[in-house]
Amino acid sequence: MIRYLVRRLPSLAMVLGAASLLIFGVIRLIPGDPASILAGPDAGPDTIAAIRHELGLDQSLPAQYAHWLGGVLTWNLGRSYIIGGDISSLLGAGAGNTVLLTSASLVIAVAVAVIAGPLWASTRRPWLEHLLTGVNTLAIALPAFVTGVLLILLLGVLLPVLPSGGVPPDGLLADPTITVQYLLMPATCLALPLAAVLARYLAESLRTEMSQPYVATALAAGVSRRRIVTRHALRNVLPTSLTVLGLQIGTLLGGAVLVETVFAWPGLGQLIEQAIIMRDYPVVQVLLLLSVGVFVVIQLLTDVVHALLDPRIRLGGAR
Amino acid sequence: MTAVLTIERLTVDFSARRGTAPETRAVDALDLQLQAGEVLALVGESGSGKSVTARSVLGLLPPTATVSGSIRLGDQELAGLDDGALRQVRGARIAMVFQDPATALNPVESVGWQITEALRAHRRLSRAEAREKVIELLGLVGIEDAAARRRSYPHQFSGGQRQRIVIALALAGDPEVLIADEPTTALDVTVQAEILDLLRSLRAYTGMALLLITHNMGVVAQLADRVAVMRAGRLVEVGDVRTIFENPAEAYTRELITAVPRLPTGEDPVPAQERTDPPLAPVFTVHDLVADYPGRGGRAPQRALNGVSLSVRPGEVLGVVGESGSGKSTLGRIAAGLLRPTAGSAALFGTSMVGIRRPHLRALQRRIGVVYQDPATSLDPLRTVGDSIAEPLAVHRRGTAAERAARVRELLEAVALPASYADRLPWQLSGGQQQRVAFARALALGPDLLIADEPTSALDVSVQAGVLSLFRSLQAELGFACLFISHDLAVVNSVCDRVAVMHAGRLTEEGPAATVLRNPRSSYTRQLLASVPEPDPRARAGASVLDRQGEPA
Repeated sequence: MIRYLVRRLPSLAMVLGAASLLIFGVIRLIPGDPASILAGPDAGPDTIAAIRHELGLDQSLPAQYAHWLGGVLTWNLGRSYIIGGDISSLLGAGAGNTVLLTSASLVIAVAVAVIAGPLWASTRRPWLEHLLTGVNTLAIALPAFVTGVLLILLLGVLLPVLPSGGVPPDGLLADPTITVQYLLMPATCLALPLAAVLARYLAESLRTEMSQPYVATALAAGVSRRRIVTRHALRNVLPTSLTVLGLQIGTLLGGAVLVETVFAWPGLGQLIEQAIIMRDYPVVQVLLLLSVGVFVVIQLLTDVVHALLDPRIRLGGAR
Repeated sequence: MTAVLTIERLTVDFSARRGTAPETRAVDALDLQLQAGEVLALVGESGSGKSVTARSVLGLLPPTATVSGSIRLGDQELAGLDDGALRQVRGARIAMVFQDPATALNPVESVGWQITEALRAHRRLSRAEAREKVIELLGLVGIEDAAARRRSYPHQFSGGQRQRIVIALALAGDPEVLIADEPTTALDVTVQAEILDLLRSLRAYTGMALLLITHNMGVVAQLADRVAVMRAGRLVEVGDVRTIFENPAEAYTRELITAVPRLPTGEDPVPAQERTDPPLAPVFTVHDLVADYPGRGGRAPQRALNGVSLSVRPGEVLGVVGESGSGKSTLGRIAAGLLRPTAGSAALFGTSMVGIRRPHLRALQRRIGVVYQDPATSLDPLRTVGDSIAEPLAVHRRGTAAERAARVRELLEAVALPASYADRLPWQLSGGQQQRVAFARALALGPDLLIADEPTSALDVSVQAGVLSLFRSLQAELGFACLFISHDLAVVNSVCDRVAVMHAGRLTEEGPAATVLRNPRSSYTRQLLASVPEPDPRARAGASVLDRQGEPA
């Protein structure tokens, strides 16, 4: 396993390198000049030039890139142009909120999918099948800003049981029950599309799996259909479902931008939204690179767990 | 004798989709009785309804099936029971063994766990009791060191061992009736002999009745007390095994038995001496050939061929026989240029294939044709038959569209199919017709060497007989050389001039077909020949119930 991880390292580094180049390049293509925004509308060309020089924007692009990459590698992320402050402290402030939000969504999504998927695959009641198909399609189709607003309207305004936005006033760690109340709506909103995709994938692959000969063997031995779905077939579809989950983490990261904005959740999603609007290059660059890094590490993790789940890979042997 | 299982007027219809009207009748008013303790063989070709009959007994048909008639286990009516009630019968009173042990076990659970699931489906058992019972069952079917092996996963067992485990799983509920659906079809012939032995001794030990579904008349002759012959969903005839083999009442039964290819016996006329033509340059020759498949995930490469030397002369059919894993298909892949030799030499039409450049290889490949085992997967399902046959012509840029169409008609005629079939899609053809198309495609470029990898293994016996006779006449007419790869010694005997026997990547024996199959020199070939179940109930291995009890009244 260690050898496998070491072998994967060069390709990991290459992906991150290519991503950094791409991110750096794309940001420069966005129209608009941070120096003139910073200087304000009345500033003369001298002031703007002075700001450009101060920010290092008058250097050549390769020099700027090298300077930035060197900073990233030494965790010297530099200062934000416009939002203000040290980038690493900006990250530190938002990271906790976002990690909590996305991991809560992940837990909700997986729990919903693991219950709904097998139910969907094994039910022989047409009405339940239609219901699940309908809910599923809606959950996949509705964007986060629609479900988010609907949720706020329903549970925050019409039936005010949950806070309609923001974070707990005393901090996330002060009182877990209050934190859960604040977390519940944004996390559910973020989890919905992921849960729907995952449940659909699970149901489809379980249905295919149910036509495998080993299922006939178990049925013929008298094992119940429900038990075959939940105990025999599920283990077989878990590895590929995990790969799908890993790929879908990307949507979770993207969705966080919308959900954090809708629910006024001060995390990295909100930060990147602000930074993009304000042309705060260094912040956007670092956040994009960070999300690529998270994604790549998650892919690696799913590959490792995938191997651990399958005895044919874990133990080796004939075939 | 008392009947344990009585099937009366069983009719099974299938509809195309759930809830639509039935379209095809798979079983048509079938009457059948299984007596206590007997082995009843249900034989027939694919599509005869034998497997559907077996599955309908346990209610294991898909939701598109409609079942009518009566299936009684003792006094209990099984037809029309719901899933919950059938669950009390499945495994506990009637158990089933399936064809392919490679897929019949769950790949990600240990075999002990799977047997425990079968045990717990019917009884409350503590962990210790379950463990003990699993070890007992595995021991019963001949798995050594069962206490440790129960923790192993299916992929860590050989094919024969896996089938033993599937049988142990079926025996977990201590059933009165065991239904075995083609239990040895996916196995090598020596392993098949072991599993037949096991079934025979289990029957004697447990006294359960066995409903054996098979298309292999050799297996029937070796194991069955009575035989029921099915065709197109109907029962053709039923009788005790000797009557069926020696004095069948129906012409169809006779056809089925005579279609079985046989090994040479002492009674056959001794074939003429081997042709003493002047030695011609071989079309395909290998010397000290070694071939490896690269290992996956950092594991060592697998050696498939280890120092093989042989050659195929022009116009000669060389049979390559061996069990799975013997390297016979790898040899075919080398000949087709699909795999490069790891060491040693290989030459096609006198040109060495070691380190050959791609354009040169393509020029050689123009002179070979390949036929694979399963026509259902080797023909593109979205291409018409005509397009498939013309593909080699298109790939090698031969002729105009009109010339190709003419060639397709000519080839269809050569393989005895109507020219109108050119516009059909593969699924509209039967298995035998599909394989004829595969032959037509392989012959499209007029090859000097045909590589046929198990070309008849996926076919029914009577269909196989037709394809083999077509092969013989095509070969006589066109004179191509052929590397004929097969696990079936009798098939090889019926078409090959020379035979090469392979075992574990090495060449065991090689010589004229009649000599090798009649007077084998190597002990492995002798073992292989002895394992083939002879389609003659008089030549049974071991004593059967019939022999012990005398002829039934």
